[in-house]
Amino acid sequence: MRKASYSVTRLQNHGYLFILPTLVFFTIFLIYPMLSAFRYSLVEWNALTPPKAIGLKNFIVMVKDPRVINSIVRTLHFSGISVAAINVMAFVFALMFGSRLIRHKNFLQSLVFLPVILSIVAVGVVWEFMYQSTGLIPILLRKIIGVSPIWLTTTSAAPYAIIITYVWKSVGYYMVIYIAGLMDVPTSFYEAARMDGAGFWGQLYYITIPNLRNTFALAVISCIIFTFGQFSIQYVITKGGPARSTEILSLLIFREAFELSKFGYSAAISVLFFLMLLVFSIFQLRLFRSGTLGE
Amino acid sequence: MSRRILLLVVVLALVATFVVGAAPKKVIYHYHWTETIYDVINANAVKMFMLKNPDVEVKMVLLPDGDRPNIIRTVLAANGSIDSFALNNGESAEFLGAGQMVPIIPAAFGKKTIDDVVKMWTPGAIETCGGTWEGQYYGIPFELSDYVAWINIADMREAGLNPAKDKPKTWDQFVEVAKKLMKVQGGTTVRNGFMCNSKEAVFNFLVLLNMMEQLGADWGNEKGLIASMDQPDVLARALKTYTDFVTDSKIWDPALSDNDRSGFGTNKSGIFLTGGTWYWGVLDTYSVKRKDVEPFPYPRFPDGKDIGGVGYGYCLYVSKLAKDPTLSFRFLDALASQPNEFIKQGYHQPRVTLSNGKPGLDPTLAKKYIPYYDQVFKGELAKTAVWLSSTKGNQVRDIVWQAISRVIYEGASVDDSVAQLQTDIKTLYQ
Amino acid sequence: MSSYQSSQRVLRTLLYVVIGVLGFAFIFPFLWMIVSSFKLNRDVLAIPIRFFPPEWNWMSYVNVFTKFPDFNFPRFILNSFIVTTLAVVFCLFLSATAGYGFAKYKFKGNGVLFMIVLATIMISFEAIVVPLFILVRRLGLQNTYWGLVIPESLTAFGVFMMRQFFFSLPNDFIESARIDGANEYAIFARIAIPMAQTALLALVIFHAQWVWNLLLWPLIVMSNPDMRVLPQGIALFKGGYNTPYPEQLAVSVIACIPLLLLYIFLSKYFVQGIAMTGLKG
Repeated sequence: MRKASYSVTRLQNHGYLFILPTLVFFTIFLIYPMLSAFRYSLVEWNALTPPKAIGLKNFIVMVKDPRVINSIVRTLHFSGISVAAINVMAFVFALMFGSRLIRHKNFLQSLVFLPVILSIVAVGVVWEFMYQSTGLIPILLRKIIGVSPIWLTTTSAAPYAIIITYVWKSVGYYMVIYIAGLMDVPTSFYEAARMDGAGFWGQLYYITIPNLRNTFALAVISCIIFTFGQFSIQYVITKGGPARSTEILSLLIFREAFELSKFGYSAAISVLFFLMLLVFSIFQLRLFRSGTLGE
Repeated sequence: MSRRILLLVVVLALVATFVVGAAPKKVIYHYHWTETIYDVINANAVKMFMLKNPDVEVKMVLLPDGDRPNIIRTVLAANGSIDSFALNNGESAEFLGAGQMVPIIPAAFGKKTIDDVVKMWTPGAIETCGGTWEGQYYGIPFELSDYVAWINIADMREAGLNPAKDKPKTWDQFVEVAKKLMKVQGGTTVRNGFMCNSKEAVFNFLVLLNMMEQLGADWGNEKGLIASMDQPDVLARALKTYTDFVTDSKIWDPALSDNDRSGFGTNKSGIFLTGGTWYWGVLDTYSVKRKDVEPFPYPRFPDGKDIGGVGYGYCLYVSKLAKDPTLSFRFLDALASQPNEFIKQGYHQPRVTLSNGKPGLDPTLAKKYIPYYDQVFKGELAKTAVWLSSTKGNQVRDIVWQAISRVIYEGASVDDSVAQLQTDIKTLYQ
Repeated sequence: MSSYQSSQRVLRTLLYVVIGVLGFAFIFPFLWMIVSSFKLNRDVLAIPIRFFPPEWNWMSYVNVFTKFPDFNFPRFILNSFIVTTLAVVFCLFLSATAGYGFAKYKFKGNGVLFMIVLATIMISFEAIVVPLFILVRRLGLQNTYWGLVIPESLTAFGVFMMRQFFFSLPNDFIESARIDGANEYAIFARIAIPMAQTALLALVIFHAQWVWNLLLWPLIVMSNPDMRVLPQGIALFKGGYNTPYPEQLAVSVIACIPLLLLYIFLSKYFVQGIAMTGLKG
């Protein structure tokens, strides 16, 4: 038997080679544009005339801008509720579709995943139509419980209309993540637990959840990041309205740049956006104790 | 593993075949918007041009109308391949002010002076379509339209009104008529008396612009806009008139439908205010029939100016990044030389003569294909308000729409909203 | 029947009812979309709402191919296939290698470098679209497949996912292979990758559906109409004045069929069985 004759560090340094392709491409095509974008936050630029350097003025304006503050609040509201709803539902679905009680698991899984693959335009058209005052949802609600909120044109209901559509569209995606995670918990663990007399809830609590720590981390952190970053549903269904009640931060970033030609200001907001997510992610990675810095 | 590498190589080879094989022709890129009815006509113009100029290949880049200026801006910013593009007069000022276009080259049209070129279009057309800047001509008019008011006369009769006599002439009468056209069933509005777009800023902005101009403000240019900020009573009157449609008389329920063009066409509204001559063609795709619809002049304020609707137009421009500006102008000329094809769809192009001397738009065709052309459209176009021309036009649009939204969606008072509007506009133009 | 069995029965029925309602809620908008693609334009938006078309419009799907001169469906779908395949393959390569590297090796800067990679999804894409396009242009990749594919292959989510997965992979296999004298790359290719099948398949589905539906980047980078991808084609159906809804919905339905087939094909691997035993004690 040949003994390993290299030092531990040299072995571990193979890691550099593995991550090299990713680092190269990410640096060129993502990090460099990202830094450029951050540089734009120090100028005033409408993309057509040369940029004008204005120092930190964008940031000073941004901190006091009610539109930005509104967006932050709306983003936290939208993301908070969506992420919670999505992950709870996705986990429950993943469990359910593995339950022996249910047949036709494949078909049901496909049903839940179906909204994920639809194009956002189609989703927007269909759901917008369903939410209008003579649309399906108010009609059904009035039949069942007698009242219906006015979904798309009141500032109180519009955010929830968006949340419902977004959760509908996204649950399948995270369900797949949880299913993949559940599949990798060895059956032997469950058998051992059963032999020790654990029932459904016992197995869930002692075996499933602890072994899914990495999966939870992936699902929840990605969900937050993606939910923060997506705005196509808001853009297609309400365009950020009514009266900015669905204008989340990523939509504002898009608008300031592409609709109002304020690329510098938009970049400043995206710096804020980035920092918010960075803080969240670091915090959560520590929370899940999954692959923290320096581990 | 080796099989996967083989697969990769095959795929790469496939890809290479698409990248290679670039034609030795001159390639010009034109950025336009897509409109399913007109795309066929444009495609024809492109084909004819390429037949006459075999060494040129034209690539029409069709974009959704809302994304068009944003994509154009991005491609220009990156010095991409863009030889020519289309902009409307609400968008063009920003680009012209940034020096992104090439002035018209008379030689491309076979003319000696710029005046000879301008004469090929109806007087003032290039200005109204936004194609001029600081005294120079840049744009080839591609559309000149005017919003007029449209009313469903079948609904009028149903409400006991006489279509010949009872069409509203003032904004107060407008509200009265709309109230009668409105239909409510079980607490929900199933037909608006009047509606506009609930989501998009631009349409609401334009109707308000018309009201402002009727009340004496000059919202056609930056100076007039800024000056009007010192007249809060005028601002408040216009804003109140418009927002009362939702909050006071409730003739407009934004929750019923978000788009007034399709809403009117499916009888979800008795009146709408953002249709031009082209709307006849659009109406044909909906359930409301042409015979049940009549356009009429915008209502006026009894003590206001005689200003009708909002005039706007699209122009075709040659980008300063164009490799061969003369060639691009020749192409644009070809694109804008089919006014009689377009008029059959109700789409109005103000072309008087073609470059080869033949006549442009045949006025009898206009009468034939556009019902009420002489009675309503022509007259209103002559008295129309013109869209604001400002390099910050998109931000103004947004500010005005926020002012309207505050009142109709957030329940703000008109005076508070006006105060915010004044602050926002003044800050914008500091 | 014992009380245990009947309570099982009740539970089962309840579960079926809940699943039935949920399943229906999930699929209903999709059914609406399909049914509406067979309506006439005026009926799509008409009130009172009818689920089934009062008049069946069999022409909408035909019109999609015949009435729109710029809509070259076969070309668009071919382009979409090529771009999506390339992007997915490249993404798998980058994600698997980087995920493995981050998870299984303790080298200096591991944590920091991973945070940097992860940070790239924390910037909204719209914020980097302009500088990215300027860069792509400078590299001469505008209007090429590579200019489209490379940025679309890069997702930190893939790296994140594979890293999490490789964390769960027991080190014993790797250690014993090392003792047997295998080199690191062989271990990666012959042991780690096969064991990562589930995660890789999930990544294939995720990335494929993202790239397939991507509109903004192709819209900016690809001005050559012959190289347009499907979402750009679908966008051609939204006119400035008028949108032909039945055709737009028809196209959307057609567009999701390839992805649906891909999912059905791959999900067989998922349904092999979750280890949970369910309610039986």
